[in-house]
Amino acid sequence: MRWMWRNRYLLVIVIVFAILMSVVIKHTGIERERFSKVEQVISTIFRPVENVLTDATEAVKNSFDGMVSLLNTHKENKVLEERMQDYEALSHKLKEVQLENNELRQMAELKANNENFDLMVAEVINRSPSNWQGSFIINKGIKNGIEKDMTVVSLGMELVGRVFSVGDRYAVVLPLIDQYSRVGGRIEETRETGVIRGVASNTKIQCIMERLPRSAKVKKGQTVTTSGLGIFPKGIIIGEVSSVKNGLQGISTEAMIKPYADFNTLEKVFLIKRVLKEIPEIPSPEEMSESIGGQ
Amino acid sequence: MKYWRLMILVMGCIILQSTLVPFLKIINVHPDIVLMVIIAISVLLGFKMGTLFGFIAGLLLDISTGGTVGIYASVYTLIGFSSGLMEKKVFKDNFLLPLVFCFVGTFIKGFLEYILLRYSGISVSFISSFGVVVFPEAIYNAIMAPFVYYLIYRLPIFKYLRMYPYGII
Repeated sequence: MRWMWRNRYLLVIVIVFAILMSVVIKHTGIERERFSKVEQVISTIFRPVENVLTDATEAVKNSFDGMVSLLNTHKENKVLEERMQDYEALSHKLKEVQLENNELRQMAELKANNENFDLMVAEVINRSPSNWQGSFIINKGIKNGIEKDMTVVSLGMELVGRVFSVGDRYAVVLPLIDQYSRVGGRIEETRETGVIRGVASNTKIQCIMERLPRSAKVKKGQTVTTSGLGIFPKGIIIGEVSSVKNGLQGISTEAMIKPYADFNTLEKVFLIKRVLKEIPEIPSPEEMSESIGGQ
Repeated sequence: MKYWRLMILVMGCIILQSTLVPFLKIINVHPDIVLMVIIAISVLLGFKMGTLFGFIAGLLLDISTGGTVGIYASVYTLIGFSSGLMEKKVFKDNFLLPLVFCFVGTFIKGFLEYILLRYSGISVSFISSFGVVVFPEAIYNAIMAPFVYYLIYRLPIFKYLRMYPYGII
């Protein structure tokens, strides 16, 4: 007992700290509609530096990717080594320009052609420091018209996840590979529905589709899309089935899903602001009579 | 006020941790440089500064990445405190020191993070993830730790340590 009295101040600090932390964690851990003012102010201080650093990373990563691929070719074509060196600088430059060109073209075309959705582009500026979670931050927020639970897709219109919580000029995205994420999915070929759960910490399997009926005719290689049950709009492609096994206690089937979107290299994403054309609208009787009367 | 260089270093590490470091992924795991810096600071300066820096770094990391506030704050506070307790019992010149501390520290961090994530309402699977996430991360951190430790050890405020490695008699 004596050492407790000797260290009484330390003990008080520890107890107060533990209580404070548990309250804060419990308060901020659940899904939140908006961030608190304090968090937003501190985040705003970090944002500009992060923006610059993210741009720098992209540049370094692009050049590094170029170097790696060049190295591989170098190995394969030992005979062409000397000629390769001459082309190194040129091809590297070309590659960067090409990548940028492709991306821009993809964005422009999608914006023009996609009649089903009203899209908005956002950039990924920050990733979760934890190895257990996969969430990331994008550079658009409430001021840009982003709301909670908006669907996030990759540039190739593959499902990425949804907006988890929103700040004034930034938002956190919960990707479908995060352990907390649940997405209603449907197997395109057999029309069976299930729930897709993320396993972010696993290397090989990124998502598991649960609660498929026991009699499900799922096979390897089939495509999975969103079912439209829940907050995600119908018909967005998610990934393909990589293997099938019996679920818990053998009453259901589980399918391992390999998402099409590459979560490690996401740089830009689309947000679905509005679903323009999903179910054809049937006008109400009043509207019908009004339009007839007008004519 | 004489710790302003350290504070800037810690802030820089927090920003790096959430922007550049996730790209250093090897087998789905990236290192934790904030952990290395906290361990280095608390081993060199003792448990009081270790706890303080751990708490500030954790809180800023939590807030700037938009996660659950308090998880990293608690984890780093505890790691800063516990590794700072060893300050008087170790030789600070030995660069195996950060290696061992970071290896063990990553396991403590993983375990605490798991408990706190569960507590905050995010369920993560334990058995399947611990071997796949925490163990590789511990090795990764242990390999990188001596370099980070060396950088911090070179800072001007630790000049007296380099001059009198066995303490001022």
